[in-house]
Amino acid sequence: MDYSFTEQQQMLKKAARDFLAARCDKAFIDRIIKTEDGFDKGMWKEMAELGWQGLMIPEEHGGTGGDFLDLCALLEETGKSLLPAPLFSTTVLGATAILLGGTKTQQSRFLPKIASGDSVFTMALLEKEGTYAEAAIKLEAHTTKDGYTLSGTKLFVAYGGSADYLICAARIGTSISLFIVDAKAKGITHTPLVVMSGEKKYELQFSNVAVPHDRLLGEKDRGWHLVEEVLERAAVAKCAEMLGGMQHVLDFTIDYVKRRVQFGRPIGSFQAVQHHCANIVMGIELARGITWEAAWRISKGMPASMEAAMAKQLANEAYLRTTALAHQVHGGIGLIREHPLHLYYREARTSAYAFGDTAHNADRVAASIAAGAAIW
Amino acid sequence: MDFTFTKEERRFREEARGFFTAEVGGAPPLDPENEAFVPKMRAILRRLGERGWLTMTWPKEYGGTDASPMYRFILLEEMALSGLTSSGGFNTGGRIVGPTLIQYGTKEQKDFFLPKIAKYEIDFALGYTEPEAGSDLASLKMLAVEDGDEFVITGQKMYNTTCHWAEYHWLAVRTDPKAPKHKGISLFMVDMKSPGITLTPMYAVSGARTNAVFYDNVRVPKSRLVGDKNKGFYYASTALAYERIFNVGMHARMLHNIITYAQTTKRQGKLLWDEPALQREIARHAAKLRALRLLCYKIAWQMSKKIMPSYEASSLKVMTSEFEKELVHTGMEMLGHYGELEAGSKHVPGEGAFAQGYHSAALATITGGASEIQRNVIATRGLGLPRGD
Ligand SMILES: Cc1cc2nc3c(=O)[nH]c(=O)nc-3n(C[C@H](O)[C@H](O)[C@H](O)COP(=O)(O)OP(=O)(O)OC[C@H]3O[C@@H](n4cnc5c(N)ncnc54)[C@H](O)[C@@H]3O)c2cc1C
Repeated sequence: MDYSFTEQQQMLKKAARDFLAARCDKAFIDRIIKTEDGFDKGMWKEMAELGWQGLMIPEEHGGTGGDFLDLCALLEETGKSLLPAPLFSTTVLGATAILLGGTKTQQSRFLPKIASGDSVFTMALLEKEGTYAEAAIKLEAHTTKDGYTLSGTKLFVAYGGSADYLICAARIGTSISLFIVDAKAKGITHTPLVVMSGEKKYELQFSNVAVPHDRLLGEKDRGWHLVEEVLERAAVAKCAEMLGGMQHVLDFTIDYVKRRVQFGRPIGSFQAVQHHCANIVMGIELARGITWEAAWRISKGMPASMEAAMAKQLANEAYLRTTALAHQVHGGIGLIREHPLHLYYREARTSAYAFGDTAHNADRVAASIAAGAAIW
Repeated sequence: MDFTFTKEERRFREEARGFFTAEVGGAPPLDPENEAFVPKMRAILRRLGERGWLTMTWPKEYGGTDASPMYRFILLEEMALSGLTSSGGFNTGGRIVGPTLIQYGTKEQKDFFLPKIAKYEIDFALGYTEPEAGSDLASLKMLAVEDGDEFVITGQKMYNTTCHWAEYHWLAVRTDPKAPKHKGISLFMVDMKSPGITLTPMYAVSGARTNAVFYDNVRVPKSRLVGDKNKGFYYASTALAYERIFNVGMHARMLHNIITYAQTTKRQGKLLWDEPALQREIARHAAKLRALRLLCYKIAWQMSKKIMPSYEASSLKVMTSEFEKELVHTGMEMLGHYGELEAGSKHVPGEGAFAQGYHSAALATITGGASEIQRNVIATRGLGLPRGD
């Protein structure tokens, strides 16, 4: 057994911490999330130079050939800083889908541009129902002589307004197929949504959007299988990002309760405050172990759907509880917008929906048990 | 025992409901966290004042009708049920200042302030908290020094919410730095237009504005000292007791919104309501709502029997604020991704009320006294447990 990061992973994390400490403070976040793109394009290029977008992309396609666990290790750091950038959607959603489902041609066409920071990817999956269920996909693809036309509406598309490409799930009859769609293609209308966290999200309306044959991703009609593979990774990667966020909140909370004095002593000496802090750390520890096991399993090519669904449930609960209790022990100061805590409180809420809320993941675990999966 | 309201109380409730329906009607709920709400709410309070409803419980000689606290309770409950905030710092004059002046004010103060408070011509901002004095209010440092007929006040307050529009500041200040902490504090009523007061706006996570307030040699006439010098901490604690009339009208609205949404929204081909786990959660909330309502009624009843609540008020403060969080959690989990949308967004559910609830709930267990402090009160004053050191 080994619960530690490799030396290389530790270096990656350290470099990320230094970069983010210098570049991604609260003033930066406040400014960037108000912009239309929702990220800083210059910084995006620098991130590519650090090898972030290409972390999981093989060297032959311009990446550094790391694995999923490396990416999660990095996301734990970006989660600490609440980095507002389409890193998650480009790597965990876009690059993963192309790595898992793309043809050789598609891979050599798209992956180098992801690694170089030239292309921003996202996934257009959710629709009106807002659930991660195959039946909820209603956007239709019709076959034409040159390929397909897509019509329908996607919701909650992260960076849907600034992405270059969308991995879009569409229905052809009874089954789902995936397409790589130019995000600015004719026929797509972008409507920004007002979302609690810093991640820009859009509604995208597709009206007869033409997609050529060579943009079909993976096997026709087998798209949902690919979606599930991506979602499993996305859920785990989200947990890693959330872990970073909660750990950071715990760190600055502990620091604060040691310094804040009321009744002539640090509030951290009151048992009521201590117990809140203890409850935070227990939640984090629970989520941490299962998250890293799930990430490790995925990076080793082992089945991980049960672990992913378990991790997401626990991470949801832990992040929500961490930020709520952190608010409680901060008192008034944490409730003022100048203080960063509320950004994490918001992030916890939106992260808890991403790639399956608590009920969704509980249902997945229950379904596995019903199908005979061992619980031990 | 009797769990009903009297005929007169029921009639008053009808009347109050009619008033609030006419004021807010079917219009979208005004957002209490939005600054645009302030003038609207003040206008409504003035109309309440015209009816004499802000001061029903005051003695006749001060413009009241000696009504039982039950009426004030009913009014506040109906107000919350209508979607109007019953606290938010509004009517600090009627809630806190008036009752304190009636008990401890000079004749001149009563004559000057009480009619204005009754008609809601003026309101007060609560000036207790300082950067270093929150839960530990008695350690406040803002200093008043006597100078002839005046006190000269210097120092800083924090999170004084309505200072940017209230006419007066209900201010706790140290008047004897040598006395033990609790025994060197006095209360003043300061005209917010006095030279030397400056405000720095601060915005709460809910969107509401509050303020850092700076006093630089602000001169306040001695006639604006409340009661005896150095007894302010005692007055402030008794004044808080008047605030301790809780109701769960807002919670009822929240639960109602959840039920309506669940019963009208389909997911995966069935109504959200058809999910047994959600039904059970809602049923539990409904039980808790009824039980909490009874506890609220009980305090109102006790007060009408002149029994001042002590730890019961603390336990209601904790329970209602934590219940608010539970309701928000149920709503947020029920909404799925739609829960992340905020007011102004396409597709936002409940016109943004759910998201607003998530932000406001963070405040509930802090403002008006943090839950930990309330639990300390329940344990020590209520249960007689020894104090921790
Ligand atoms: C939006 C907003 C509006 C407000 N409006 C007003 C206003 O109009 N006027 C006004 O005067 N004030 C106002 N306040 C201030 C409010 O009353 C205080 O924030 C509150 O009393 C808590 O004080 P604090 O923020 O200093 O937190 P602290 O006292 O520093 O508390 C931090 C944490 O320590 C805990 N703690 C402290 N002491 C103990 C103890 N002995 N045992 C166990 N735990 C303890 C607390 O429970 C809390 O969890 C407002 C605050 C906010 C956020």
